[in-house]
Amino acid sequence: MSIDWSEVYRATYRDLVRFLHRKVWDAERAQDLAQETFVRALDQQPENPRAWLFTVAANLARDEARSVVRRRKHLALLRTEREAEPAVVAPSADEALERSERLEAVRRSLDALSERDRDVLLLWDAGLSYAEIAEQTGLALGAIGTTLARARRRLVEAYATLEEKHVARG
Amino acid sequence: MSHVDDGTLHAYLDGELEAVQPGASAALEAHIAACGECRARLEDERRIRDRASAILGHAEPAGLEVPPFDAVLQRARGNVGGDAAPGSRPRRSFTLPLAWAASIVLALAGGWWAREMALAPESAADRAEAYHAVTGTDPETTLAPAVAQARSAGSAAPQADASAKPSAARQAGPEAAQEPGLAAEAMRTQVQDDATPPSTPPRRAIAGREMRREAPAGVSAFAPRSAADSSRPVVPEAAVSALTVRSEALLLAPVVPGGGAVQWSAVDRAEAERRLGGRLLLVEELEVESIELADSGGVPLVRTRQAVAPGVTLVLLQHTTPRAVPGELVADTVRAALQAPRERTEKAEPAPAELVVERNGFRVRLSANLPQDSLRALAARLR
Repeated sequence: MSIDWSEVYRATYRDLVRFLHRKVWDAERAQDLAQETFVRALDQQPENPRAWLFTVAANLARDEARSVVRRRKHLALLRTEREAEPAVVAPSADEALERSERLEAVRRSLDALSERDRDVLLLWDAGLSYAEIAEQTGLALGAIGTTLARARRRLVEAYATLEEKHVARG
Repeated sequence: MSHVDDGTLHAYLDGELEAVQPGASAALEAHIAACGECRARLEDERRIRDRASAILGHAEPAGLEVPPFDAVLQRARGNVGGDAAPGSRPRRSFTLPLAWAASIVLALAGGWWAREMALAPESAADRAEAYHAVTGTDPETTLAPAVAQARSAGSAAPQADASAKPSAARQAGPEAAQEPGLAAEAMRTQVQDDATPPSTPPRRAIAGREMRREAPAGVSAFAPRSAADSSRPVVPEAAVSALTVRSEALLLAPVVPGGGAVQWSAVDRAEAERRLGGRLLLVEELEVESIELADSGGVPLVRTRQAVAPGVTLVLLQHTTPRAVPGELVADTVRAALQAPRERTEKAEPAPAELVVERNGFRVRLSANLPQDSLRALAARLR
């Protein structure tokens, strides 16, 4: 079967980046990994491109997580460096801060989920069908809805808790 | 029908219930029409589902643009080192990484040998023998053009053009004879510039974006200067980009033969500065673990260790610039810089990243088990 890879790319790239972004929490890195995933796909020519792409992307993100300590040190250094620089984008600073805080709250809320629940939720949010999620995660097709129900509820609760704490701090 | 479970409600809300259980949607709708409790639960689950989507929406990558597919194709072709089209199932080449490794070893050994030629031309025969031991080739045949440039670099050498990407040996220019390390430094920069091995895919440039290139700026920092400029630092205070980025593979290069071991002794900062005849350069924000002094040929070397994070140490090796230091001392310095970090990290991690910066009449070599850009950020805070 001949696969139109440019069409797969067009239809999947954004979803893949969104999926990866919520795993590595770095937009540029997510795009880099998404492209690396497509590069590997072009090399391997899988028969089921979409499921294959998300499987490989998840593996790349997992490898990425292994170096998370090293990266955090790196980011901490860069953050220190940025703080030392004059604020040349002062008008949007509040907006950037707000976005950054929201992003951190989402990250922490997702951390409150089990790895399996998180994967299923992110795969669904990236646009995969229940059947594709089941194929990728090894869960039974009938278990996907239950997993999603649990994952969504925990995400909402964890996020609400963080919001309450934020409000309490003022 | 008994009450509906949450999983079924979510599958229904997601439009997937028919895929999971054909015919179930009609039965569920009939039940909900008759069961107020399940109807209320359906609305609750709908709110949770929508809220979860909204929360995840906060984590959208901003300003996402889709690079052209051709850019990814190009990258895929580069990945296999050929012009393979999709569908041809190209196989990765095992010889390409080996070729890279060979070229790096050759270039590193060449840089070392070229510097030695500039440092002590009279001992060229000994150096050539060592070169042959490393590369299996004769330096006169493999490196003749670059060494000729380094040797003959003098008043006729042209000003380096930072916008071009010329041979690093040519970049060394007229100061190569005065500053023996520069030819090798410049060659290392060239190696770093060219040696982006294809075996590290996750860090390749993103297609459609401009890859950050450091080498041209670093090379330009070592461009020839006039005699009138000689009192100024080689690298301006603010020019963080003007750093020589050293390939980690250089740690595998042979140490300079003939030098004795450097004996280090602990000193305080005041003593170190007194012996250096100037300020000890440090990253003030970091805790100082140790300051050690060594004397080589009457010229002081100071090795400072600073704690960056638990288990991560920044090693700074400071000495006067090579212009004011006898040639052998430069060799000792290089060896000391290589030995210092390896003592601690040999088993735990790959070789640490290194940078060299010249400031206030001193050369400081920074080494730490950190990403290169973190090390560069630290170098910018050197005071």
